[in-house]
Amino acid sequence: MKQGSTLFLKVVLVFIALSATAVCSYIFYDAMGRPAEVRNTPFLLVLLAVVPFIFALLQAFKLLNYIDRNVAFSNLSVIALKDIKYAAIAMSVIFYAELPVIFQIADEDDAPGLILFWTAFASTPIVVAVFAAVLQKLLQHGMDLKSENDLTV
Amino acid sequence: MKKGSTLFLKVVILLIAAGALVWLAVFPQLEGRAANLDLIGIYRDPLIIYTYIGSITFFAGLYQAFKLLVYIENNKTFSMPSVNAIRNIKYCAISFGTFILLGIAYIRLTAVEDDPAGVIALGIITTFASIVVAATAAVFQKLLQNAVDMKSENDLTV
Repeated sequence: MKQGSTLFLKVVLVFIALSATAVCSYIFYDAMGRPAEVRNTPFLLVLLAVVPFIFALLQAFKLLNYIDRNVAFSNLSVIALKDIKYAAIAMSVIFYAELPVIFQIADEDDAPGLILFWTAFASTPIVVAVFAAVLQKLLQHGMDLKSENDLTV
Repeated sequence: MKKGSTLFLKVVILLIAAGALVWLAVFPQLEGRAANLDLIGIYRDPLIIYTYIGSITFFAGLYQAFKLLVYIENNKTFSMPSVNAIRNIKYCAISFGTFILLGIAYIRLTAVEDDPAGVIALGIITTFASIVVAATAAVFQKLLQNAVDMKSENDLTV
């Protein structure tokens, strides 16, 4: 039964990766079709955040593979979680770096809620990073348990 | 450091719960099918009451997650209570998703005036998200069960 759950989650990961690519391509394509001053704003730098996002999805896929093969409590999955944590932090850094640009846009369009929304949006990867850190500590514990188990004659 | 991480996650859970409560209490007045009724009429609408009952599963899931974080803090991660907590999160997610699904089916079948496409899309996405949560909880439950078995094997080995 675990095989079914992990397979489902893997399919979901692939689906999320495809949607993220679709959204980014749409934003990029749409921005390219507009006049020069819109095209060159640093706003498009947020699209850089897709790179750590896809990387984190890859690591999650690897982690699901480890769980499938029953090597969940091992160094490999600890490393995978560490990568997910760093990728999430990188995403958050990129989003927070966009904040000054969002300030400008919110000023021009007179939409103060945009700043609040963007701050909340930029904080979501941090929650994921903390979650991954807790999981990493847990797996570390589990690893110690397992080695204690295996080494007991 | 783990204490800081679990405290942060607990605060996040509380924030989500507070935000959800505020949203539930305020949204019926803003827009939707009951926006033009008087104060009592808004909250008597059967669909609103149905949503409130469904939100109980949501808050129950958040509560179980909070309890799980407390167990992790007290170093009782690999124990039966936390396996039970994750199992409860799984069941809460499944029932929450079912609630939303049934509500969406009802809206789909009985909507006449407005075009319910937006609500239906939102409902499908929410159902999908809760199914993903349920699947993740199931995977972690299996993992924790493995670890609990390992631990009891450990503890019982003389």
